[in-house]
Amino acid sequence: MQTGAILLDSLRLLRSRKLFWISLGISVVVMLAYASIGFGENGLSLFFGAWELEDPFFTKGSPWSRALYLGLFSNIVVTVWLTWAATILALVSTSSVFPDFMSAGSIELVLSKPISRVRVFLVKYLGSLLFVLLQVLVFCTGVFICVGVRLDEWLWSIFAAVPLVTIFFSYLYAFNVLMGLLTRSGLAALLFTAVFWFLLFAVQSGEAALGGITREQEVRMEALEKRVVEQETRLERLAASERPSDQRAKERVATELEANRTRLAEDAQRLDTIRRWHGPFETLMAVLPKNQETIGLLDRWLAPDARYTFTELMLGDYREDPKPAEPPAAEGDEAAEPSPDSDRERRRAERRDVDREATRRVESDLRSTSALFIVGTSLAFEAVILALAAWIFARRDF
Amino acid sequence: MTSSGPDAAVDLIDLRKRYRGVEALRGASIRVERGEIFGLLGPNGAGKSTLVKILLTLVRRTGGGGTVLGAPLGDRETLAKVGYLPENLRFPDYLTARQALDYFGALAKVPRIDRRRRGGELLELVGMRDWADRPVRTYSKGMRQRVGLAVSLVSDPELLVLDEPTDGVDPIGRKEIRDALLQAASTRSVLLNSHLLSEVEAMCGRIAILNQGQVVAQGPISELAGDERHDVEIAGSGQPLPGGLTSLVESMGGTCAAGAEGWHLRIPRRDAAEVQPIVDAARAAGRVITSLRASRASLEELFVRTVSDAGGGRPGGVLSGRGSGR
Repeated sequence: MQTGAILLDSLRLLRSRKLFWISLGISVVVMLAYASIGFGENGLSLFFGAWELEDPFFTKGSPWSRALYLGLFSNIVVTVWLTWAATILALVSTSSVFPDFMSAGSIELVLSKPISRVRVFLVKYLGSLLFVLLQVLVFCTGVFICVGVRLDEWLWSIFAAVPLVTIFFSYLYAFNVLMGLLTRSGLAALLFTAVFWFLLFAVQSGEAALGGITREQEVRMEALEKRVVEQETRLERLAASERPSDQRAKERVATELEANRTRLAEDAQRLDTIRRWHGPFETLMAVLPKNQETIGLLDRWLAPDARYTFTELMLGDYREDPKPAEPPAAEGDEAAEPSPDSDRERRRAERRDVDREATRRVESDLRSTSALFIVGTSLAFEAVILALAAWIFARRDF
Repeated sequence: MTSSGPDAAVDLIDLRKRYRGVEALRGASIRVERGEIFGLLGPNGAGKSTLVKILLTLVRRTGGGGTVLGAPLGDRETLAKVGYLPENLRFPDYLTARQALDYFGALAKVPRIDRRRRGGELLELVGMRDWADRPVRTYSKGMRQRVGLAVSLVSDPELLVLDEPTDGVDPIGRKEIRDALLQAASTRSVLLNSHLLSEVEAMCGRIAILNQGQVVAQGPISELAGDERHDVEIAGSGQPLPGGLTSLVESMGGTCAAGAEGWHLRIPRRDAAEVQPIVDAARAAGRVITSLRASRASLEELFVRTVSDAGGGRPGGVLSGRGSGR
């Protein structure tokens, strides 16, 4: 009865906030924009057919269309709108809930009732999360219908966004509540939360960037090692040859081999330095809430059987062979001098391959981290913050 | 001091509270009997609100103990039987009076059906039935206090704790609240913390005066005031009294005053019979006596004297100011 009363009061409080309705209104607009994307026989259309874009891939029923439509939801709509803009609005709106609740003449009425303070605190906290939960629930219902109509597929996993976005918000809101309790000011709590969010973002971005650079460096070194092995083999072959042209080629390959070995040694040293920097970030991220990774779970759960990921679509991998075959050196052609153009082209292709492979590995790393670890460690952090806040709330004189 | 017993609605013994080096309560003890209206008085910063808040578990005590409705102080379940109207009451402004009654009733574990029934009755009692479904933000201060009183009664409490219930309310609203309060108090114990001495005098049978965290006086108002002073006042018309008579009055420790409308004597005697020689002498001198009455020191005089004698406080401020939180 008491829990229900506090939750009902939270609902009334949310309904009384203008920002709740503004946020809901923007959600509807975003949902309509999403609903306006369609797929036809010749390509995709925007704004309910007002603008048509011919494309052989993004046609009705194609796997690329499916990947694009679902990817837009999980990577753009959820990431940009629900986890940034809507979260900011939710924080602005709920930041004053606890400071207002604790104001003189208000809190006494609640705490003088036969209910434990910890329970009041936790239910009030959960009640504030309704702000986001309801918004996302309404939004996901709309998206569920859009996907059903556009892709002819009733994808219940869309509703995974409801707990994920709510959990994402709760990481920040727990900190916001703690600051609200300490400062008794909604504005101060909001500012501290913004700083906390920025720090989380900085640590996550730092970790992701260093992780990406590590992977890229590893892939580059693997490619270089492969080339060194090829050049060693080639050098052995050339050493056995008596032809004068092969002698020139031998010198050239030997020079290149030496340069590559030096580069390899330098790269190994660089990799070691990057890993040393990456280590502390990894440790920090193991403890801190994993905002981006939590939202990233949606992409993983939304369409686990998808032929293409949204990243692959963005990289344009669907339009070409993801691993163009390198033309093998013709037998007996070792002495042939490579033209500058073909060499430049080869290097460009190599760089592209390295980038793609590094991106795939980073994505694979993200996907290999278990959801239990991502959400579990994040919620553990949140639990510590909440326990501290609840302890302060339970012991404070009002 | 107080005596402990199972019949007390509130029995607080030697309560102590220290806020970061400041002693707000220094061994305060009060006892509120069941069924009585008990007044708590004291200058600003005397510790009245702290005492009330300890009783309601809003503030943690540093020392001491006691019972509330027979249960140990701090027992949360007992709070279901306690109604509270805090000082500077602030309802969530999105609630209507009916919603506020339902919400706080639910927190007090009142079944829904009883909340609905009692809610209607209480809104009628405090004269807010016509405003029941309008948001609290549209109410005046007096209306909010009246709704606050209704909320404090929603659980049909055995003990009602009221912290400055008429603070900031205009005289008409104050009277309405007082009438509703007296009606509600007929079946329960009331602890009234108020700086309005006239209000306390009109409503309470017994009082306690707190000063600098200690109870400096406690008991029935009549006894406390009686201990202080009794006077006999005689008034008459016509010319001033003859010199011999005024000398007699002054020899008894009394005072004489004369003006255009007549004369007035105040003689410090408990019994009117003791001043009969003066009455006889005045009549013999041809003066007309228009009134003769025994008067008692008012609660205000008692309060001022008690607090001043206790060597602290700022009694003048109390009568015009408000009790602070701590």
